Amino acid sequence: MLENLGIAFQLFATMDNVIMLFIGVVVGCTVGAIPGMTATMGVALTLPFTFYLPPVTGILLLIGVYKGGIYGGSIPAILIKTPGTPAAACTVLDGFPLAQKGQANKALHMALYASCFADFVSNIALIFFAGFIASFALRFGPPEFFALILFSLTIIAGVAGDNLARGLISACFGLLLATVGLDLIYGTERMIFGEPELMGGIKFIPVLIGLFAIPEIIDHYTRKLETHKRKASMGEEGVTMAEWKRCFKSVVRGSFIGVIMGAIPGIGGAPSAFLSYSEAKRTSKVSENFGKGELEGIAAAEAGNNGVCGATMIPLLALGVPGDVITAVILGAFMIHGLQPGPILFEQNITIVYAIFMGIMLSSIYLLVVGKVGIKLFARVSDVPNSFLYPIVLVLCVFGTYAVGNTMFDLIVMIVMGLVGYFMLKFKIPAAPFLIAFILGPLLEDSFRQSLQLSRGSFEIFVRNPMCWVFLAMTVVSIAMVIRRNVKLKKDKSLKSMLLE
Amino acid sequence: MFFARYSDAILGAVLSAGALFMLFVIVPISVQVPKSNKVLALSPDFWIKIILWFMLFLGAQLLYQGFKTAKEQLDDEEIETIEETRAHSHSMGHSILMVLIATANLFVYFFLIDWFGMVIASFVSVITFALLCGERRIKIILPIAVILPTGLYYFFLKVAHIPMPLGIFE
Repeated sequence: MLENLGIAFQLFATMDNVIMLFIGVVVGCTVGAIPGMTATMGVALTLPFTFYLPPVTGILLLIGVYKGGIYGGSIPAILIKTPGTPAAACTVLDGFPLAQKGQANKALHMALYASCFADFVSNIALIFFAGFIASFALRFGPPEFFALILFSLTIIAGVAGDNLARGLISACFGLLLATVGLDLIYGTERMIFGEPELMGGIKFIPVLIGLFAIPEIIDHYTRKLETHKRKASMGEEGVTMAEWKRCFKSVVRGSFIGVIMGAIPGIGGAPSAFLSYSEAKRTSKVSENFGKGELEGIAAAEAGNNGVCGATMIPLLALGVPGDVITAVILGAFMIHGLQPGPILFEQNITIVYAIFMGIMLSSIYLLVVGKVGIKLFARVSDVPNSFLYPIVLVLCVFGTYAVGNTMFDLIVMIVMGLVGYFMLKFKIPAAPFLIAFILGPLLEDSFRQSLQLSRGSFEIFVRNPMCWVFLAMTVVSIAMVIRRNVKLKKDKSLKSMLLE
Repeated sequence: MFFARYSDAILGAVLSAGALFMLFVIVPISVQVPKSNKVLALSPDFWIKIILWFMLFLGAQLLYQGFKTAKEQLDDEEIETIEETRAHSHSMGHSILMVLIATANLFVYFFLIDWFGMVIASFVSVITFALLCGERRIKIILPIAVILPTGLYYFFLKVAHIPMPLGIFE
C-alpha cells in the first residue's frame, strides 16, 4: 500500500499534472461563467486536447474543467439571473436577489466557500468508498456485469427529464449507433455499408461533440439577437466569519446530501441543490428570508451541487459506471487513454487511481484559490456575447474532432451527429441518455454475449448468482419507481386540467 | 401551435416507420449473420433487433399518445413555454432558412478544409458564422479569426504532434 502510494505520488507530483489541473480549473470556471456553455460542453471540448497527454495528466485536466465548470455556473446565476450550468439553477433563487441589493461580491464568495467545502467532503467520500466498492466488485464475472450495467442504464430515467419515453428513444438511438462496426465474436460486418472507417465502430469524440456543441450553434441562428442582460453591481463586501458560521450547518448538510445523491447514478447536481436548499429553508431560523437574498440559501444550494462532483466519480472509478453525463464523458476519456474504469483498474493500475485521488484533492484547493483570485474576472466573462462565442466553439469542435483520428471522416460524423442532435433538441429528445447508452451499450452487449458463451446459450446464468439477483431486483425497483413517478405526473396533470375546466 | 400539438404523433410515426425500415430492410442487408451460429442470442443481429423492436414499441406508444393528447387543450404552462420560445426565436420560415444556411455553412467549412486546409477554412468560417450571428464588429472578429485557428494549428502541430490538413498549401 505505502509502496503504491509512493509510486502514485511520483506519478502525480509532476509539473505537467500540477499545471494542467490548474488550467483545467481556470477553463472550467470560465466555461461555467458563460451562459449557454455547460460544464459538459467544456469537458467535451477539452477532451481532444488530452490525447497527447499521459493518462493521469489528461484525466486531471478534465476533472479540473468539471469541478471549475460546476462552480463557475453560479457566477452568471448570481450576477445576471442566468445559471451557467443546470446545477446552478437553485443558486439563482437567493443569489440574484442578494446581488440586486448590491452584495454580489458577498454572494459570489459564499458560493465559492460552500462549493469548495462541499467539493472537499465529496472528494473524501470518493477516496474512502471507491476502493471498498471496487474490491467488492472484483468478484464480478460477465453475468454480474451485465446485471450491473442493465441497472446503470436505468440512470437514463434520471437524465431523461420530464418525458421518459423521449429519454428511452434517445437511449435506443445511442444503443443502435454503438452496434455499428465489426462484430466482436464473429468478426462479421454490422451496418458498415462498405465503409472501412466504420469497421472499428463510430468514434466517441465526434459523437460527443456533435451531440453537445453543434446543435447549440445551429439553434443559435434561429434565435433573435439577445438584448444584453443587466448585470448587478459587484459591491465590495465579503463574507464575515459570523456569516460563515451561521451558514456552516447548511453547508455541511448540503455537502452530505450532494455526496449521497452524487453516488447514486443519474441524479446529478440540480436535484441535489434543490433538496439541500429546501432542507436549509425548512430548518433555518430565517426561513422567511429565503428567496429574498438569504446567504444561507446560496450556501445550501452551492454545497448541494458541488457535493455531487467527487461522489459521481465513485460509481465511475469503482464499477466503471458513469454517475451522470459528465462522468460518462470522463469514462470515454479513460477508454481513449487505454484504461477501463472499474475493479480491474484498482487491481492493475492502482497507482494511477491514487494519483488521480491526489489530483482531485488538489483540485479543491485550486478551486478556492482560482475562485478567490479570479472572481471579478470570471464575472466579466459572463458578458461575452454569443455571436463571438459560437464561432469560436465551432472552430474548437472542428480542430478537436479532427485531432482524434486525423481523418476527415470524423468531421462528417460530427456534422451528421450535430444535425441529429439539433432535431433531437427540436423534438425535445434529451441528448444525455444517447451518450450514456452509446458508452454503456457495447459493455452491456459484450457482457451479455460473454455470459451466454460461458453458459452455452443458457439464460440461467443470469440468475445463478445472488449478486445478479440483487442487481436485477434493483433494476426492477428502479423501473417501477420511474413508472410510478410518471403515472403520478400524468395524474397530477389531468387533475390540474380538470380543475381548470 | 400545430407542431407543439402534434409533435408526439409526428415523432411516433417517424420513429415507427424508421424502426420498421431498419428491421426489415437495413438489418437484413447490412448485418452479416454467420451460418455456424447455433444460439439465437449470440447472433450479431440479435441485439440490434431487440433495440429496434423496442424502438417500434416506443414509436407506436408515442403515436397513440400523441393523437390522444392532441385533442386535449394545451395547459397554460405549455402555452406559456411556447409563447416564450416564440418571443426569442424568428418566425418558422425564417428559422428553417437559418438552419439550412447554418447546415450549408458546416458543409462548406468541411469542403474548405479539404481544399484550403484547416487554418484558412477556419478563418473564413469564423467570419461567416459571426456575421450570420448578427455580429458586425469586424475589428474584433478579424483578430479572433486569425489568432484562434493559427494558435490551434500550432498547438496541435508543435505540442500535440498532430498534423492538421493544409489543403493546396501542403
